[in-house]
Amino acid sequence: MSEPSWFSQPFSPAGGITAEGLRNQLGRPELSVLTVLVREAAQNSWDAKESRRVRFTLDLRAVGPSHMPAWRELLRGAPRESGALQSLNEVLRRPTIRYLAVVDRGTSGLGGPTRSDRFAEPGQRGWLSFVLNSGEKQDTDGGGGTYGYGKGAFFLASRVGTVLIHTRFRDADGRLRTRLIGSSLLASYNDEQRPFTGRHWWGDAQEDHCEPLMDEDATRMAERLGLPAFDDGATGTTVVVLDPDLRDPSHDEDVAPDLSMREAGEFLADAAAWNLWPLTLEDRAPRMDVTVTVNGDTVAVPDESTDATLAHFATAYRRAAGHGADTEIHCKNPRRLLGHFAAETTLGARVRSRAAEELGLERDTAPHHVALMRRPDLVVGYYQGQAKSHPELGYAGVFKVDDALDTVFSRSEPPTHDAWVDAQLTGYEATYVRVARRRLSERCADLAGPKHAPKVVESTPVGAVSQRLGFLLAGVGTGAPLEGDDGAASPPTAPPTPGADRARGDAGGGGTAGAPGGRSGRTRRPQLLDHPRFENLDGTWLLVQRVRTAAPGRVRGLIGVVTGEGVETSAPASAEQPQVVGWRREDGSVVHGTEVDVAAEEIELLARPVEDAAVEIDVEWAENVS
Amino acid sequence: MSTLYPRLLPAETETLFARLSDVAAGAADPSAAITTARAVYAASGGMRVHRDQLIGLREEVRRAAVDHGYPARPGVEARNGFDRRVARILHASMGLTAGEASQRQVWAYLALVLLPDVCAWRFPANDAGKFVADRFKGTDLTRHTLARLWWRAQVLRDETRVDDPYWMLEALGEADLDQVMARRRSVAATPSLVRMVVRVTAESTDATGRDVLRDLLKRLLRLTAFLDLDWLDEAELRSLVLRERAVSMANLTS
Repeated sequence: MSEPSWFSQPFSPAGGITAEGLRNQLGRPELSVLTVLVREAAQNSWDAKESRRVRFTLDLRAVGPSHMPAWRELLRGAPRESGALQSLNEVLRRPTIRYLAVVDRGTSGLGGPTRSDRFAEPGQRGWLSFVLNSGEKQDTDGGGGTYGYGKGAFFLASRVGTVLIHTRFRDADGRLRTRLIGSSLLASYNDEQRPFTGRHWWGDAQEDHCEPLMDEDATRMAERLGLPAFDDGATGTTVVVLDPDLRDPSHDEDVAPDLSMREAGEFLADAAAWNLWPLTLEDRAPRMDVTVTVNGDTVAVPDESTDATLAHFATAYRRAAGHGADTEIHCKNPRRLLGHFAAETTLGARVRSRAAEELGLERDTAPHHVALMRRPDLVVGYYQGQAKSHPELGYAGVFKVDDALDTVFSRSEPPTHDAWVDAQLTGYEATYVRVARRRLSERCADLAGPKHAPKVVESTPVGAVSQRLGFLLAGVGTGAPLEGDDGAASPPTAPPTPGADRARGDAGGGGTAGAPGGRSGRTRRPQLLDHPRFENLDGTWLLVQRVRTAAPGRVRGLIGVVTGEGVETSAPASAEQPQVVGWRREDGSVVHGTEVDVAAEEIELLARPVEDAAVEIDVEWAENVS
Repeated sequence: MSTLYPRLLPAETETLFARLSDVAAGAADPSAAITTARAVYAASGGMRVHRDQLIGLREEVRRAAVDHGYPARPGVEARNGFDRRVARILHASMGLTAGEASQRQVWAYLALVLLPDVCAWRFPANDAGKFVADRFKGTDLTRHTLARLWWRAQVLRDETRVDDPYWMLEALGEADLDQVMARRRSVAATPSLVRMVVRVTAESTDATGRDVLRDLLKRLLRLTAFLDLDWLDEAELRSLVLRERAVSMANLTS
């Protein structure tokens, strides 16, 4: 064969769609390009599944030096028009070329005719609908895509509007065939008075269309480019998104900085987890294995074993999938089963991922959401219900549309399948979608419990009570008794002894602040007065403890985490440690550092506490006092 | 009804412990050894254990020791295998209540009168010929040769698994279990928490090893200082442990 070259599509006499038109088919999704890419690519792969295990890999990498020459060759003859964010020539000039390979295996690959004017049996339209045509009707059973527009996501994710498609499938005779082609959606243009659509292909260019590189040629070229290979007998497709758009999705498009490769990998892993989790559950078949790698290093994809919130969603999913009578959601007029709903209460689970935030979950709060899905089990979105009144409590629900109504709900979805919009439907169909949403709202309200705004009836220190009751705890435990009227970490009120100078004789005494354990031999130990309290100083919450010193000298503040077993001797990895910040004198002046010179006076110790831990405070003489 | 066991009087405990080095492995005669006049029973609260039961118990534990190489000095594997088996034997057959099992003299009796040879085999004297008192006297039930096994089984018994309620005894390595049970008393004070930690660790497929478990325990320790976890149900506890574990993993791998 001759060397592969570029083919640019001229308008045909019968008209044609421009590259811009094709790119716009996805609309302007609310979701970021990376998220849309993960969703649409996974859906394509899932629709093409041929085995009980679909392996879906997102492989982000920079082209290595050994493969660079092949890429430069590929790009040298590339169309000069831009139309996408950048032109292909700009990529060529850059020292590194990056790409995101979306790899699926255990899938059928893209077979069938390679030119669109040939008749193709249903089931033999893979190549046609993915590489050549647009807007083909769904042709696989149970497929989530109803538009055949999903592939637009690959082009949108490429800054240069260009992808390579490398696929292997079994032909009608059962032989393994391989194809490789490049495809660009740029901008329509005129060349010497002749109009072109702006669609280009790179491969075995013919008079009026472009054939892919085939079999040996394809395999050899894929090798030269360093693309992921096919194992023996494996079928599937690799779509290489050239120069992926890695702008940080949490910023406005215009000013968003690029994510590092690693960050982008983590975002992709999160996006895969939160969009695809129902497909990846351990106990389902067929199921999808998702892997994310950055330059060959695996990035962990959160799943139910590592993420508490996902674990709850998974449990709810299994219950809803059980189709018990208690999970049914009905429409009353007309009478119709809409789907199945189940929810799990969460405690302490929080949503942490940015990718989840895009789907409607709130970051750093307990989930109060319902994952919406229909037959293909991809997450359409997360419906936000009323939050529970306690910040640590939440719920994770799943609503799955009854299969019989699948087409109705799918038609209510925009091309990106990320919402159910009843306005797109009429009559009963619109009613079903609307009622489903109302029922979810009701269920969520039930789960959340009565709304109530926190109201402070009275604020009373409980020290006096705890002093009276303290004897009940005498001798119990090894740590000082703790009190907290709000469930938050509260420091003990008895003077603690993180240091070696253990002088506490009143463990269990409860709230006997200011009664230190004996004398140091020379001078009374500094006394801790009242209860320590939280105070916001320049935007930081600090713990403030009043201290009385009986003589002049130098005192040292000590603070440490107390655990169920006493003072913590070894902190968890990367865990925050409380710190003495400084001291505040009566006149308001602040001295930084753990030690301070004092007269016989009252002074305040300022310390930084840590979240979710109890701390002990102690003050001792730093040196002998004469 | 629970079974009451003899409680060895403190003075006798000291005497027998001092004479422990005389108990050459295999020298004690079981029928002679199981009784001592210097023991008492709780006045009420159960049936006094029958002599045959004691002989049976001794035989069973001894057989476990023999199967693990007794009287030859046990290696790591033999010690672990013996511990696991004996934990099951003690918990399943003794009929102890937690109250009775909290009596240090009961354990002193078992270690110094009923099974001194086996216990001395399991925790042999150091080079200077001294035995560790905690292993025999019951001064620290988390370190006593037999008591720690019974308590381990008591805490880890999984009522939901009818086929093998003691599966958790084998779910983790010895050092890991020890971390959870002995060194982390406040974690172990909530048995459901221990079970969840073991369950989650056993179920995890990530090859993270001991560091994650240790770090997870440290994190839970911080929480048990001010949270009472006894009232949490299974799912809530699971979510808590999974969350803390995920943080540990993230921190350790970052």
